[in-house]
Amino acid sequence: MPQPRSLHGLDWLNFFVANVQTGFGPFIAVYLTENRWTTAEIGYALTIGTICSLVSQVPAGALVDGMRDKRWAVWFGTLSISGTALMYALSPTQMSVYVAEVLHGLASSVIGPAIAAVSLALVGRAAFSERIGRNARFASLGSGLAAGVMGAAGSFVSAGSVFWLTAALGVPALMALRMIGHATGQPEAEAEQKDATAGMAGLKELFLDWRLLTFAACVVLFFISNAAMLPLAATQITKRHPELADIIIAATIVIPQVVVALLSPWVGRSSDRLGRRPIMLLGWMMLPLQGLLYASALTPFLLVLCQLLSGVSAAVFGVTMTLVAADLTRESGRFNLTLGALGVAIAIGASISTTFAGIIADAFGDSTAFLGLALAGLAGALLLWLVMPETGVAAAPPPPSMGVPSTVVAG
Amino acid sequence: MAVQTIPPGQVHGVVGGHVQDSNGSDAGRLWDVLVDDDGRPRAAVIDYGGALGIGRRKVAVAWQVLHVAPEDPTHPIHLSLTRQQLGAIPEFKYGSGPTTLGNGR
Repeated sequence: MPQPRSLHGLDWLNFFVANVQTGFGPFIAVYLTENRWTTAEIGYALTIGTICSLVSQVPAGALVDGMRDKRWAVWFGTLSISGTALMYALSPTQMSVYVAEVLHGLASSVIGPAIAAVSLALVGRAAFSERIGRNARFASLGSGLAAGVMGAAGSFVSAGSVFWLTAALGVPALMALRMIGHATGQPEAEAEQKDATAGMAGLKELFLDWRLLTFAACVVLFFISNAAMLPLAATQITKRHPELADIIIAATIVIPQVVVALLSPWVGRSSDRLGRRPIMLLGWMMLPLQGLLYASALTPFLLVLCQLLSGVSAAVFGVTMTLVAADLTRESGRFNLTLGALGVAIAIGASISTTFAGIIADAFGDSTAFLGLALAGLAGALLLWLVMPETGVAAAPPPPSMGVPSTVVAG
Repeated sequence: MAVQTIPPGQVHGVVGGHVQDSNGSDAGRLWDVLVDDDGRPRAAVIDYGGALGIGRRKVAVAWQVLHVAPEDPTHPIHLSLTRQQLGAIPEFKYGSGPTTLGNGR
């Protein structure tokens, strides 16, 4: 059993790293505009970050897989994001911002998967689903709170203050990391360590694994459907409800975070009890539902309702993606590499989404764009249902002789 | 080369500045200035609304509805339009299509 101190450290690590990660992203454009950057220059800087993160996902994953102590990867990632924030705050000049974006891109592709790997090493396979659910809860509380605080700081203090705040939040994140003990004592983790260095043959095998390819396609379709949904809807709300739009939109950004915080532990437990497939189907089906609702009418009430549904799909996605990646790499140990590859799938889906929705909206109007997004989500759900196999081992039904479950008696 | 000197406080940078609508509430920022073939400003692009970058939209307004108010440090640009009126203007996009301007009438 891992030390309780380590487990609490992991809770807070998820919370503070989410703080740092949510951080300054939305404020970069505003801050650089305030510093008299032109739109084109801001575009270049952000593109550098995006490309860097995309290109580094898979190699960073391979690198972390080869590390004996994954805590170093988290340490590097956290320090880099804080450092990036500090560079922005101190010197919003081109050279400094470009370097910061490169660093930010690298760090953001390392940190999430590395935390999952630290968790796996700490708790082992048997308790992993539960742990990932709990990780998601703390991360979501962290990013929800950060979004609120940073939003307030950005509007009432200055865009620059957000960068200082992000840099400072790296300190408690690193303190939480220090609470986590070294975890390669897990025999399972040791075994994975050995296999991970097996060589290129395993790499080819991994990327030709049809389960991974199918799941990656489901992930791409999820993000094609998901990424443009809220931005498209929110822009319409801004147009139609000038008085309340800003407050409504701020509230609807926080709603999914709350749902994720509430639901993730359940998603983790249920993915073991019922299997990954039914839970994933539930999450993926929320996307076509949202698309249809938005296409039917676009009111503030519907925006709130759809964001509740979006929270359900986000909770399911966040937890099950990590679990499926762990399931598929049970033998090969290439867990971070797989998460990196899925990260690329996310980026591809999200970038198609915005372009795809924009083109349909320009040609046929917003309702049709929502229907198009719904269709992509439906395609993802169908692919899951018809092609994707169950990857969890604990999906087998319990023996009938078990009698009354002990949890019922406990109440 | 002859140089010209303008006394301090007589010209102002406007791109990126905060904009206030005619009701006195925040209406985003001045994003860009659209000039005609002779280089004269015809319209301004206003980027407004939303939270944390989500729900923002860009609209073009006629140059005449813009008033520079250097005495207002937080919102140096004032509009003679309300946010309701901004909502009625179609989204601005860079490109070859026609640009619809809000002119308050």
